[in-house]
Amino acid sequence: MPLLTLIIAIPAVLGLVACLLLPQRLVKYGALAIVLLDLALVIFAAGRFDWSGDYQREVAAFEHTVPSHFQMREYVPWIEPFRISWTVGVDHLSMLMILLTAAIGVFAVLCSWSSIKKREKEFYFFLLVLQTGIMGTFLAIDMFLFYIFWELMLIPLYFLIGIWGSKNRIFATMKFVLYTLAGSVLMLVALIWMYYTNGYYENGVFQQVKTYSFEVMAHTQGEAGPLGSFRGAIWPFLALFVAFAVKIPLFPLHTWLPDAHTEAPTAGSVILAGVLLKTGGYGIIRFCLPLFPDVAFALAPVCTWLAIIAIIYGAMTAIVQTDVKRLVAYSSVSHMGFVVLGIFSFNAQAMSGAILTMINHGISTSGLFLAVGMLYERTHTREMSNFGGLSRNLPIFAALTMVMVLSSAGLPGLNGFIGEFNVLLGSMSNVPIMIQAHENPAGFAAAMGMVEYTWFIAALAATGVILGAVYLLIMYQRTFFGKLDEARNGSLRDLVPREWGQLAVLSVAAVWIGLFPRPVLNAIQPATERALQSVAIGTPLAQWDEESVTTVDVQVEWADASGVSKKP
Amino acid sequence: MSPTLLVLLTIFAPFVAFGISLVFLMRRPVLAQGVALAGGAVSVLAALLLLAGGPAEPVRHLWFASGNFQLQFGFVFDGLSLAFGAVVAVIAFCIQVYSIGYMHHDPGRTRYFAMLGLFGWSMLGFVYSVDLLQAFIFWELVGLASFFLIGFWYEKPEAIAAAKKAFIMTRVGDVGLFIGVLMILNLTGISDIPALLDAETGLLAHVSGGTLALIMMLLFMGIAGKSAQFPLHTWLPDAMEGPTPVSALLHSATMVAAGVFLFARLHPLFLASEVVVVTVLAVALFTAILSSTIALVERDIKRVLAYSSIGQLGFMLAALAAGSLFAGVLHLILHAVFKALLFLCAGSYIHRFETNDMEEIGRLGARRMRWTTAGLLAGGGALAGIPPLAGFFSKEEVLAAISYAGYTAFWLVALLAAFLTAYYTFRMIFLVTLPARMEQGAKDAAGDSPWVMLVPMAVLTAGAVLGGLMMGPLGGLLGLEVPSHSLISMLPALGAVAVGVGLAWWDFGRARAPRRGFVEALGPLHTLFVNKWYVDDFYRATFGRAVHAVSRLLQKTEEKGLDGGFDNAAISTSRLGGLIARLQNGWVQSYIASVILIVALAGFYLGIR
Repeated sequence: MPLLTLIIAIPAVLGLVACLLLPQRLVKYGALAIVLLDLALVIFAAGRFDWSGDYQREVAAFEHTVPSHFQMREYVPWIEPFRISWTVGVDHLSMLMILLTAAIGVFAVLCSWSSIKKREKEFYFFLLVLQTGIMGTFLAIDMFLFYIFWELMLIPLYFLIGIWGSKNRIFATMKFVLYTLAGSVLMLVALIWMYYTNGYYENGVFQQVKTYSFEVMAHTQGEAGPLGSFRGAIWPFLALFVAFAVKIPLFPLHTWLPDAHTEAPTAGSVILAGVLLKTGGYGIIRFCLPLFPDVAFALAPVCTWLAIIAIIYGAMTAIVQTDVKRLVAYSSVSHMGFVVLGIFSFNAQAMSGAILTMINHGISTSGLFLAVGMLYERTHTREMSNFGGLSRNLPIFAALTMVMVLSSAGLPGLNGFIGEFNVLLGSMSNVPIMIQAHENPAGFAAAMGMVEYTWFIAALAATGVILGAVYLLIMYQRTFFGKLDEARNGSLRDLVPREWGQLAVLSVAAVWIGLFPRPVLNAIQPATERALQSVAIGTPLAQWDEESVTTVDVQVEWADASGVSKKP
Repeated sequence: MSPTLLVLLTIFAPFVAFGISLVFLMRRPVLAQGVALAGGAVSVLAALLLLAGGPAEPVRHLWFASGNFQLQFGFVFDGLSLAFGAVVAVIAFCIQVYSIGYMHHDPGRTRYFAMLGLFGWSMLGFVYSVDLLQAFIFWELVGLASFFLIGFWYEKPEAIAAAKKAFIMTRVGDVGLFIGVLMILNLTGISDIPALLDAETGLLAHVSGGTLALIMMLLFMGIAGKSAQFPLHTWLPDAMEGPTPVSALLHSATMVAAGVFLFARLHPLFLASEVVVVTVLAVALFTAILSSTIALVERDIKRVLAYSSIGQLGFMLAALAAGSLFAGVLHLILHAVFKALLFLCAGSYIHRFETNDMEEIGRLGARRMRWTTAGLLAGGGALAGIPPLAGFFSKEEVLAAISYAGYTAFWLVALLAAFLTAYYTFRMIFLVTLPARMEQGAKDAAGDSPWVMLVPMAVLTAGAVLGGLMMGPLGGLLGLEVPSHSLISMLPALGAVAVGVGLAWWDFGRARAPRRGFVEALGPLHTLFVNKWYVDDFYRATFGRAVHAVSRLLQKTEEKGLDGGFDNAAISTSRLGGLIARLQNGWVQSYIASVILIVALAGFYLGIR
């Protein structure tokens, strides 16, 4: 059974069928059934998945046969002259991501239940197509297929915001589309560039290996080929990185996010924050690190700084927002900064923390957007000044939102803390920065303000944690505490079971991961190892003092030698 | 029963009560009270049994592993934990009982008692933690619980502001603590507290010198935040906005005590760095002076007590930094008892007279509430250090520790603080019990608080009077010798206290007293004290404003700079918007056409760039 293809195709195909056959008022039930079916399939796939991390098979991709760790792989040649194929597969990273996607998909349908009243058919159709696009993005192994799904995500979201959004929606969609298209065009150029320059030298003769297959490329890209050299790799790396950075979104490419979030309908915001942003982080871990380890390594200080700026900048900007939704949007910028910081620290803790933070952010920020959506549905406003004292009439709502707020603020005992803790702990032994500062203390790294003690990177990032408490508590206080000033807010009704059910599930997830993070971290572990193995830095530097300098040197050699062992 | 089972009962009984009340008993406050009391009682019983069982080996359980790093979760059963855990459980239970009377009219009682459970759970969890990171988690939960309780009356703007201030200000310190913990993990890979304290393989074997000082200073930052030491002390007086029993809990055995307890827990590590020791002594004693001078001029009874807490916490930290674990822990425990008592007495007055102003409380006939007043005298006497009340012994130990360690200058400062403490405590006592005149009819209105409030106060009064007797057992538990002092060495401290009490009598107590403190003659100093040394104003003018200014600046940059270019592009493309709006007619064909158009336009836009 082509399980993964089913997971990808079911939302869009059945969505189309449901919209054609079902009457308007039944469409949402159809949509719910479809996302639940998709969730069931994903869970079934997770059950069949080999979680041990030892899985390895020889697989075929056109004329090449390479080892691959992707499970449940499906390979169908498609456009043979250009070696484009329908190749999908799943590993630990993508498994976690599709679990998140399928779960958030259910929330996206449930939160639209009563808030979407016009053109329900089209709405649910686009929502389901969006889910197909995201699933495909996470599951595609063929990079051209990845690109297609990447673009496919854009179109339904464009309509979701453009049609069902609030007042300023046209402007927001335009900005969003321009931004992300700019990124995807770069990605396309990079993919084509890589297709033609991939290969290796044998006895001085360049052997071209034209391929879009990630597996083949990861395997053939050696030190001798153009893509293996720093100069050959930096442009494709940058192009891909920018495309992913727009989606994450990384400072300074984040400015589409607040507008898109603010104008999007609740379901759009939930999917955007919960899943779509993760495609950026996923892309970096999946493609940028394994294919261009040296460049990633060399540019790590820059990325680290951008991440730190994003963490603090996003939080500071969130403090002055008066629109609740915008505030949550800026908090996303801050949180996703932790993801980038974790990825570019190149050690196991930080990488685990980054992946876990992606999941956590999916839980807590989706929860916050759900809450804001419920509030908006009741009051038709998002300005904090219009709220206040709501906890008197809406105690259940207030309590569940509190859990989401605290989870987002990184309170120990909830999920956010575990992720941020791992990122911060790992970023303290930020391997690239240490090595670069060590190799060339007066040069590049030093010019970036790096010293051997990387603890202040963690210190800077940790200020984001304080500021997180500040803006989230300000928001919560202005909304739920204080006197009930607005007379019309006095008659608001508390949540119905469908609504509190959503928040309760997310709260349970937040508490569960916060108290018992072991299963999740164990599932993440192989993904982390694989990501770091590909950059040939498997073990983190446990210590950084005079004695460990030698250890660092060894690791540098290891990093340089990464390509040699990978020759086909 | 095994220690593990007992400790689980101790810690989780309040938590279970919290969960049950919050989920099931939202509309049944009486039942919620019962559940809370039952949880508290179980906790007390288990903690006392644990104490009776004596020290045992720690237990540990793997919590999670990431990378090559493992985190454990477990409990430690040394004298420090057992003694302080029992104190926390007992005081929390007393305060729960008292709250039945104090809060009987409040509609939100369920939430109140649930939060008390949360508070008890997190503090007890912290006290018994075996792992530094586990301790940090409970530490933060203590902060969260106090956030909820300080802001319990959430419709009162001051209460919310105070709750937020407490949470954020302690979080500033906590970031320091967190980075310190991260550095320890990073440098040693150990987070187990007993392992860290091990002289051969612990933290001291891995780091020394500047790095050690840096780490310990970062940890102290967190302690200063939690235990309200300068410059992070200003949240504590504001926290008075919460219900008075909450203040009693916050100021005695939980929240502020957590900081001192952490210091005691990691005592050898702090002592290993001379720089840290001197800094802590300086900060703690400066804080003691600062808070005592403010207390001299406060009129609000709760605020006087709040400032006295800040000062006494300074005493504890100074004693610990001077090297005496025994003195610090003794003062921590005895202070917890008599400060809880003082707050409950204050609450008893406030409950009856509905004012916080000491003169007014006195005028309205506080003296007639005999039982409460007896408690106030016992607690106040203990706070001032009158022999043979509890505070006398612990303060004596603190002063002796500082003097014994050879810090003569610090010792003199501590004596000054002891003098000020005695003065403002008795100022409070005289203002409340010996008013210049009493309201007409005050006599008729007399009558004391209900017995649910009086019984816990009586228990604590017994503790405040007889606390000195526990010196021996505590020394045994901690495995330390109880130091003995000659009468001569006690004279300076006794003298300072006597002068303080005498001066207070001269200013407020005697028949023709001016009823004005001597500080009012000090001009500019008086202004400084009344304005709380301008610390809050300074924060508002600098950090408060700076954060907002920077945030607004960034927002501007965001709108004009970063975003501007793209916005212009988007707006010009939005000329197309009218067209698109017309295209949104529900026809899939025209949607697709518009997509193609946009893609082409965007491609063109990017192409010409």
